[in-house]
Amino acid sequence: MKPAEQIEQSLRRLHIDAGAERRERTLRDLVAAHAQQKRKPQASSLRNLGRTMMRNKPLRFAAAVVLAVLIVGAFSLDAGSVARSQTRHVVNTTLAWLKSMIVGSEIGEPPALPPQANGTSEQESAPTGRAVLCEARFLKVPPDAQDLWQSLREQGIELIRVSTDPEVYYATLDREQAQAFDASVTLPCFAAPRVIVREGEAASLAVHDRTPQGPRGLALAWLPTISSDGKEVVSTLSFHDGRNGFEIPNVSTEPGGIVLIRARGIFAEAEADDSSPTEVVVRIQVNIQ
Amino acid sequence: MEDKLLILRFKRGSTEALCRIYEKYEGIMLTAAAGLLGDVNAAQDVVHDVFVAFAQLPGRLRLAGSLRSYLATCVANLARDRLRARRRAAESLEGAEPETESHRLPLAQVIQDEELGRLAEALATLPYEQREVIVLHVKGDLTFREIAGIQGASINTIQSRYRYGIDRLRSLLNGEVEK
Repeated sequence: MKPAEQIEQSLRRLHIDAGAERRERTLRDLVAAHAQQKRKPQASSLRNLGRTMMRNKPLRFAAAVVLAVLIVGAFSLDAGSVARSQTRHVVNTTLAWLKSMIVGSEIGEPPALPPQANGTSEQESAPTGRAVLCEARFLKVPPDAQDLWQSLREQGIELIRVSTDPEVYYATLDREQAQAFDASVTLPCFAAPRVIVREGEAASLAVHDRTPQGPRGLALAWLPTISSDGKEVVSTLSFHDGRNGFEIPNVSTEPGGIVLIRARGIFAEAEADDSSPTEVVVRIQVNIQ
Repeated sequence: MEDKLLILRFKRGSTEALCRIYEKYEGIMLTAAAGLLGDVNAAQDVVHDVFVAFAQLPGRLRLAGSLRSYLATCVANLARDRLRARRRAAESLEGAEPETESHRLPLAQVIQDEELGRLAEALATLPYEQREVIVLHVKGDLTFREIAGIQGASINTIQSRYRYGIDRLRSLLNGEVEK
C-alpha cells in the first residue's frame, strides 16, 4: 500500500505545460489587456470581461426576416465609473425587454422607440457636446468562411479573446485596416443599424427577428467618450442575446476606426447543428461628427 | 520574496513583471485547472481567462496570502463556474451530448509518465469537493483553513475530504504505482 505522503509527492510531480504556441498567444493577450488597462486607469472598475450577465433556458431558432430597432438612452455623465453604471442601466432596460421578447409569448414594444427607427435609421442628438456616430454591421459567418481568421492575421489583425462562454474575440482596426477589411471581407450582413449620440451618452441597438421556433434577439449597448485632443474614441460595449452576454470595456479606436467583434454561440440559429455554433462578426465603426 | 517584488513591480505597471508571473505560474495553474476540470482544453481556457483578468487588476490587487494561492483560488472559482455552465448546458440540451464533449482532452492523455497518468485518471474519478481540496492544497499551497473559507465548510470537513480523497487515490492506485 502506498503511503499518503507518496501520493502527495506524485501529485506534486504531476505537471503539464500549455505549449509554446498557446503560451505565446496568452502572453500577447495579457500584454494587450495590461496595456489597455494602463491607458485607461479611470475606468478600471470595469474588469469583468466576458461576464455572463444573465442566463435563461436556451432556445434554438431558424433564420427569418431581421428587423433592427434602435433605442437611444439619453444620459449625461462625466467619468468612467459613471459610464459603467449608465451603460448597465441602458443594457438592463434594453435587455429586460429583449429577454421578455425572447422568452415570452408576445413581443412587447421596446423601452423607447424613436421616430423613424428601423435597421438603417439615424437618430440625431441634441446639438450640445461632441457627437459620435456608431455604425454597426452584424455579419453572419458561414461555416465555410473559417479561413477569414487566417486572412485577418496575415493583415496584422490579431483578435483578442475576451470571453470563453460565450466565445468572444475582439480587435481594434485603425482607419487603414478598416478600409482593407471592408475591401477584403464579404460576409453576408443581416442588419446595419447606426446611431449618433453625444459623448458620454449611452445608446442601445437591438436586432431581433421572429423564427418558426419563436423570436430571438441581440442587444448592443454602446457608450462612447472622446479624448480631449479628439484623436481617440473610447467605447464601452455590452451585448446580450437574452441568454448570454459579455462586456468589452474601454475599447480605444481612432475616429474612422473599427471595433471588430467575433462571437460564437450567441444569437443562435436552429439550423446550426450542435457541433458548429452560430458565429457572427459585429463591425462597429465610430466617427466624431 | 521574489513574488513580493513581482507584485510590487506589477502594481507599478510593469508588463515584464506580469509576464514573469505568468511564466512562473502558468504550468502549476494549468495542471490545477486540468485536475479540477478533467479536461486540458477547458483548463487552458480557464487559465487564459484568469491571467487576462489578473492583467487588468494592478491598481486594485490586494493579496491576503501568497500569489500562488491567490491564483489557485481564481482558477478554482472559474473552474467551478465552468462546470456549472457545462452542467446547465447539458441539462438544457435534454440528454444530448454537450458540444464541448467532443473537444475534451483528459489530463491523463497528456501525461507521458505512465504512473502519473494513472494518478491523473484516478484523480478524475474523485468527487469534485475532494478533488478541489486536494488540488488547492497540493498545487495551490492553500491551507485547510483557506480552503474551508472557499468551500464554506469547517476545517474538519475539509481535512476529512482531503483524507478520504488521498485514501481513495491510494486504493485506486494500489498495486499499480507501488514499487
